[in-house]
Amino acid sequence: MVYAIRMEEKTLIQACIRGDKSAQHLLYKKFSSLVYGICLRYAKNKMEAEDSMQEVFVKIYNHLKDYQSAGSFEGWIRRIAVNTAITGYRKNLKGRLEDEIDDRSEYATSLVEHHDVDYTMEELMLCVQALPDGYRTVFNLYAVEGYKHKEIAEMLEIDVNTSKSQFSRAKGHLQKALLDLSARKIALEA
Amino acid sequence: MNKIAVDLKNFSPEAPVGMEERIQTALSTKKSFWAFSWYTMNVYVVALIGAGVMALVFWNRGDNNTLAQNQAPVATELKVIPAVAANVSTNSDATLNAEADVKTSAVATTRRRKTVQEETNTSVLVVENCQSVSISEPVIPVVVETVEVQKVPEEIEVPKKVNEVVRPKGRSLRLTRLTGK
Repeated sequence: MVYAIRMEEKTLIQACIRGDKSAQHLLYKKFSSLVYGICLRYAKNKMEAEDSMQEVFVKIYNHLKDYQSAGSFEGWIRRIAVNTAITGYRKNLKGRLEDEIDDRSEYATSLVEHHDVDYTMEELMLCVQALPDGYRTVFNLYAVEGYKHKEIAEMLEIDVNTSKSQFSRAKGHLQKALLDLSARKIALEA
Repeated sequence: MNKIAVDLKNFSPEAPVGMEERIQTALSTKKSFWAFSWYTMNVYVVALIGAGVMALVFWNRGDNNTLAQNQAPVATELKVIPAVAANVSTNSDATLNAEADVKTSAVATTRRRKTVQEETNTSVLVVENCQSVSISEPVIPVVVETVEVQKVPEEIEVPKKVNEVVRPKGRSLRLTRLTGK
């Protein structure tokens, strides 16, 4: 089964490399949701996510010949999307660092676990997008992608401790945002 | 937090409408630097025209310089700098030297005048130009010729060297150190 999928993927990739429009359309249909989801997570808003998605697909089509079938194709696409997001973050690093000077103690007391917070995926995405750029990037890389703080520090060219503190603050921000959302929902229901 | 992370990872919303066309357009418009396009062609044309204009400007400037050098009139004006009298006392050597210098410059001025007069015979242009030149005679100061030499006394008194040796009283420090006494 896996072999058949691999063969199907390989044929699709070969056709895309040849410039076959229908193959490119199929590839887009198959991976557009995945790429858009990643782009939304790293972007500030939908507009930025769409720009990022366009860049990711252009990179995918242009570098398909460099893909070595040893690894998963989905993993390769995911890596391109994440790397594009990181590149975008590093491009505007100077402006973003100024935004991230924040009060450390503001959310220190709210770091409690909430198991009964009710949210939709759109609401959660909005909460993530509302995070400052640095917090959001570190949070996505650590909590969602599963990178270590050392790897994140190397990728973003920051200190390991900065990565840790940014993740901690991002967690605090997110929990507070979700708590507020939950409280608003309860108030509306009542 | 893990639940949030898993939810986020699995979140794959539908891509916005018209995104595929946008990507295809971006793919087709993204071309190599060397690929031909009217836009880049315009840039090249403007750059070429600019370079041509600059080259023309510099070429003309170079021509003007050579023309100016070739057409420059022969220097005909003769400037005679009047000798300045040295403000020193009449009896000193400097005064004598100044007088000698003034005489020499006067001779040189006369020679130059002669040369210019000879040149006027050969060239009409030079004659015309020379007519307006006024040559002022150098001012030669009157110097008193009597020199008084003051005699300097030849005897010099040299004080005699006195060989006085001051010896310290009692034992020397060095001796005390050696003997320990």
